[in-house]
Amino acid sequence: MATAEELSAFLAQVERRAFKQTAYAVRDDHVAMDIVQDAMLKLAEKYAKQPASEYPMLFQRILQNTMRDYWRRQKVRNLWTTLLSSFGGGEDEGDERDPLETLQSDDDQYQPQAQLESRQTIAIIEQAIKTLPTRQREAFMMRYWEELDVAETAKAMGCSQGSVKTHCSRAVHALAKIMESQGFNKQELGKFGGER
Amino acid sequence: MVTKNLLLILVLCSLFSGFANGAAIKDTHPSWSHLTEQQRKVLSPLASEWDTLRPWQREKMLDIARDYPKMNAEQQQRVQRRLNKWSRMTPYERENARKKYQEIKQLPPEKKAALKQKWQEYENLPEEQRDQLRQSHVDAHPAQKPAQ
Amino acid sequence: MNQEHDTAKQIIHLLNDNLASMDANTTHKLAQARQRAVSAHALSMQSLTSRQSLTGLQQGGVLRLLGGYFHHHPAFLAVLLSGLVLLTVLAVQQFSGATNEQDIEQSDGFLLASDLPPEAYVDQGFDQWLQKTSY
Repeated sequence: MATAEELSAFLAQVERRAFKQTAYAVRDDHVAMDIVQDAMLKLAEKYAKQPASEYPMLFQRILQNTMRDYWRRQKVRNLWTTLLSSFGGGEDEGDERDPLETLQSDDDQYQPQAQLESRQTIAIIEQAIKTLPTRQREAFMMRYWEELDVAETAKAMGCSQGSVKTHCSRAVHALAKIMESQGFNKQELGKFGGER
Repeated sequence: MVTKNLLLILVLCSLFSGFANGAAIKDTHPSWSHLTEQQRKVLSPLASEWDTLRPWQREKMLDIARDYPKMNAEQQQRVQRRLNKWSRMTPYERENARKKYQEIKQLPPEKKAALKQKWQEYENLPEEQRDQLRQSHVDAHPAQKPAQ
Repeated sequence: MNQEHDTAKQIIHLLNDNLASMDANTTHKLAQARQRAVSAHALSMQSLTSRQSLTGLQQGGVLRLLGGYFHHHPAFLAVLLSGLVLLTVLAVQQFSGATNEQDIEQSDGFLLASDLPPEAYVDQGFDQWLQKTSY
């Protein structure tokens, strides 16, 4: 049984990533905030009995389910949400502008080139993540950002461990391709230090 | 009667030896209940979140507990005060902190003292100003890390 | 597989970098949401603790039984305790022996014990401050 301190410590650790992850999925910061707040409350109220070691997996599952609830409600009201469907990525990009194009049109004569580049990098990566098919993005976020192991990810996603691995490798492959096509080669991404 | 008591002793002893064996097996990421009392004393600020830490995070914290006895009282107090903040940083931030720390370790004592002074100045600035400084750093140092 | 892992790590590294510059408004809202969740947790725990006191009584009963046994057979208690002490000593020896190889490498402990708190090492605003005030 997790204590209030454990819950608080856990949420403090994951909240920023949870917000970002959700924002990539729903593409709206206000909605993302609502979903994350909702998910936190659900974890606190419905899973108080669970040990804290289950929290990483549980919270991810709650987040996914809350997002799906939101989409289901939205689909009824809003045609535009077809862009957010699980089969997205390439389809009907009419409303989506090329990220480079968008950035360059932002009165770039007043911004130093350096400033433009740093915002470009993260914008391109975030855009790439947003265009991933839902299951690939979920698996990628959970395995690599939340650092859940394959079994936990499978539990959170409600699929087999084999599927998790497939979704992950497809996600990484797709992201690498997008990065390369936007001019990032292996040298650009560089060698980052990491704890693992 | 004697055999019954002997049996009881044997059962209880084997239970305890089983426990000891379990502790002896090298467990690099034990749960809170499996830590020694000394480890729990050092890592007490992390008691509430210990079981949510990933295995490698626990390993690193146990390394800190291992070095703790080598420190003086002031150092030990600092470690205890700062453990929570440390555990909540992202792996990326901790890695950067290590690199910075190695650089700063090499500085002569007067530079180190100056740095400490500067940090206190910085902490006394209003949060708004500190946010502004952070943003100006992002703007001034684009995609710097990939090049390194 | 290794390639996939490396590429993923590079991307995550950049995502984490971006987290560091999240605006104060968002981080504040997240902190508030967290506090609300913790309050809600406290409320739901209240209903659970009343159920727990029952099982506590049952556990106390078992201990009392054991205690009664040792009271009447003190010799066995002595044997048990000395055996336990011996085993604990052995276990501690094995535990401390296993970490000897790692002594050479320093832990993050010394970083945490240093003059600066850990957040100082990663605060980019502090970097800027140092440059501005010419260090």
